[in-house]
Amino acid sequence: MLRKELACEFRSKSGLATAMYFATVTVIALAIASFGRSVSGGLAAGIIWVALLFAAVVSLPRSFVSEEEQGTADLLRMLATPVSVFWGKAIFNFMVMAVTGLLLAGVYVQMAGIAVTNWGTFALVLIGGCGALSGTVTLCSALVSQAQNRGVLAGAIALPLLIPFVFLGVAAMRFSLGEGSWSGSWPSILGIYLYAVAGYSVGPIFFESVWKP
Amino acid sequence: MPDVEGPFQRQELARIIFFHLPCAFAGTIFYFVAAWFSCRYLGRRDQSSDIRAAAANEMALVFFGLTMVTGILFSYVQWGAWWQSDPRQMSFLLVLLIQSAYVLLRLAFSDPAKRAASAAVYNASSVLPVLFLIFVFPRLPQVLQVSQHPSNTIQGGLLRGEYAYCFLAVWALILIYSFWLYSTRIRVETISRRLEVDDGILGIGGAAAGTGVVRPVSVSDSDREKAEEH
Repeated sequence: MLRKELACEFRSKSGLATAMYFATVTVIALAIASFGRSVSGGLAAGIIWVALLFAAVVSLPRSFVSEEEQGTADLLRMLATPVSVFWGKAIFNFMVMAVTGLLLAGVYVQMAGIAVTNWGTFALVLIGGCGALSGTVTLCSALVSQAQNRGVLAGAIALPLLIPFVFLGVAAMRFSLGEGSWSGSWPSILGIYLYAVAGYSVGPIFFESVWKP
Repeated sequence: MPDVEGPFQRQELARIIFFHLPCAFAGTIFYFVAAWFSCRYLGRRDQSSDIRAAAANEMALVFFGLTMVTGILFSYVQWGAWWQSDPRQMSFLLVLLIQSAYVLLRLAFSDPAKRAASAAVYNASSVLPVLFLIFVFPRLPQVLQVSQHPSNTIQGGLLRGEYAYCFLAVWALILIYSFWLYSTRIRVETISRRLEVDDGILGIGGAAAGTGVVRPVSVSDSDREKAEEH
């Protein structure tokens, strides 16, 4: 499944390119909106997470929605097990989200002139966050793939589930941007990874329930 | 009911707890009932569990809405603003949004089986975020520091005497009334679905068919006569 996703992506190059373009435009807009004023570490973490959240709900639902629109979903149902379909899509979405997230956060800290005091924690939070975001959005896009107005609906139902997680992300990232302490951040980092693990653990089970015809 | 000592702008404002807290408790109970029936639906695939989950979710949405309304009224009288951006208000708003997304998801499907499965999965997936928002988030030290929402009224033994009796009585009444409403809603939905299956007539209370969806309609003479009798 993952090989198929990668082959389709390399053939069309539209998914990743669109996600990266969206991320770049978003951070440029955010950097311009601050009008050259310095942004605190806590606020910068919030801005980065909101941008990541919207990048995820805009770019990731495409993985399932396009299968239904192109009429290839039934072929997948015949050829692959639900678990392999979920894992293939989820890992591919994680790869797209990791590239998009690193680009988005990297460009934003450079443009807004924010000092990253701990690059290791910054990367750890970003990778864990992208993992959790892609797991949840993959499941939500599978839920709505056969619904009416599915393009908008995937984002609409995924956002309320992800906003509590953004709170953890902001709390975890603040430390790497010079605010707060490690003792205050590590429980949030742990929370992010637990959220990701929970999403990937129950995701295939739930997915099987909606993927069956 | 006597006035209580406390930092209230108006003493009678304390009595909002008789409605605010029972509504929050009732909403939480119905949310978990909905989650339980959603999980049961995924295991058994029976229509009855889907009906019960949807009805419980509607009840949870109503009670969470009432909790929000009473909270906003209190906020306006006590602190002079309808919306305080208090972390507790925000977390409850998110729970309300999750419940609303469930309703939105149900509306987006015209196929009952797909609607039931997707809604059940969504409800089951929302348990972890809702648990976090209701039970963990309000108790985080950084939230307790900035929140103006009282958080230790019951644990701190502040709810006592006539206030405790009145609170318990109102809570009991709300629970009895809400479970009666819940069972009525289940009966109505069960009858509605049975009517739809039995004679193909989408009569009372049926949702509109989605675009491009053709409802099964009986065409034989006997069926037409039956329909005319209705």
